[in-house]
Amino acid sequence: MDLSWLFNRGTLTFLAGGLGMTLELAAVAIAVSFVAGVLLALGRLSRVRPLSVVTTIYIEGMRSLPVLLVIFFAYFALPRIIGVKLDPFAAGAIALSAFTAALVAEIVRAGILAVPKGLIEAAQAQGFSGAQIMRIITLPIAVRQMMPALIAQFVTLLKDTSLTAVIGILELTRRGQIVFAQPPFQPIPVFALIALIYFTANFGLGQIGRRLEARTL
Amino acid sequence: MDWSVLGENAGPLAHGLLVTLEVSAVALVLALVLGVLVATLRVAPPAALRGAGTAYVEFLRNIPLLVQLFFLFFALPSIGIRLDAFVCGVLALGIYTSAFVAEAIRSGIAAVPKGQLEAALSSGMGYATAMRLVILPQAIAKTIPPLGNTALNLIKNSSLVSTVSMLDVLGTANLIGSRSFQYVPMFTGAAICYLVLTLPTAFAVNRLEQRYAR
Repeated sequence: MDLSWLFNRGTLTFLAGGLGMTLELAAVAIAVSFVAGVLLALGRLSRVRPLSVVTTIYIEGMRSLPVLLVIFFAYFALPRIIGVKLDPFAAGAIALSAFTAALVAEIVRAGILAVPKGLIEAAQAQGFSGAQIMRIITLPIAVRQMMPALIAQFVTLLKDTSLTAVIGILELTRRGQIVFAQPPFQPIPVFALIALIYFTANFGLGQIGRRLEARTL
Repeated sequence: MDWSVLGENAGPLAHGLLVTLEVSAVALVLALVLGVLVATLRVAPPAALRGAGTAYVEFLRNIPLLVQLFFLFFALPSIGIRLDAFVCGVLALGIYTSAFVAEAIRSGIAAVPKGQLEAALSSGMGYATAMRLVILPQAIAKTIPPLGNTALNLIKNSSLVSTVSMLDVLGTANLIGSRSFQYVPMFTGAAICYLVLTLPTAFAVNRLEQRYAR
């Protein structure tokens, strides 16, 4: 079988650019969703009632929706609400971040609740303030415990970036579609190649998670 | 924004809800059957079977569902296999989800104390009988919470069938939204449909989780 139409410099560069876009989107969404997820988790655990109610509704509501719906909403509906046109990358990044933040928040919350109470009481007895305890004692321990679950969530996020192909982001899946829609119109080798790329990226990320899991347990 | 579009299109949305339910239900049955089979492979004594089971799970879990769905829908016709969108959707969702089902059941089986299998084998049961009568009933109780979450994800993931032209909840909302330019009401309506499906399921899963945590 002649695959020179796929394995040539031009096509491979085009697909590599797609992988770059996929990783860029994932990196932005990981960073934003981690920060937002920690804030949401703190909000949900807060004793300020309105804050915990609002963050709980956001987390539970977002978790109940398909991420593809969130992506469509961010691209087609959100601009009509905020009155600003979003390019596909911005809409995709907003949707993936907003969605993943809710799942990260639940992981962070479980991590915080799993920190032994005695440590917090000891810190209180030493005269630390609530904010200090959260920053110096609770969060560092919680983050270490929740790393495996967080990494699993980021593997899911990396897979979810493929959905932004439907709003026209030129990431790996979309570029794969473009390649097989051209002569010689052979989708199977293209799919095999992009599946292999996704597999390598996700399996690698998952292995990091497994190594961390072995260390924390 | 014209919210009346939502009322005018309640019929199509309700039909979309049925399509979502139908795809999810058939895919769930397929995922459970395949998942149980693969889970038993993953704990089988011969290393070759375990390897095959692990390869199956890792392969499917690490490739985006959309890529798998597009493979069935766009790539198979190039070798003469033409499946309609519903079949592609059910197959892709069912096979993808079976990897998560297998993983949930495998960890459930691993959580059953080893002595149980040893006791069953030493009292003269064969491996298959011991699995069926002793290990699996205990493992399944432990896998109900993760299986519930997997089923929830399946319902949400079923929205991907809209990308292969099916008019499920999301496909219907998107179609009507693009015709009327009333995206906000239509996607809000779709979100409510998904909440109606997933919130009760999530609630039931939580209840089961609490019962089995005791």
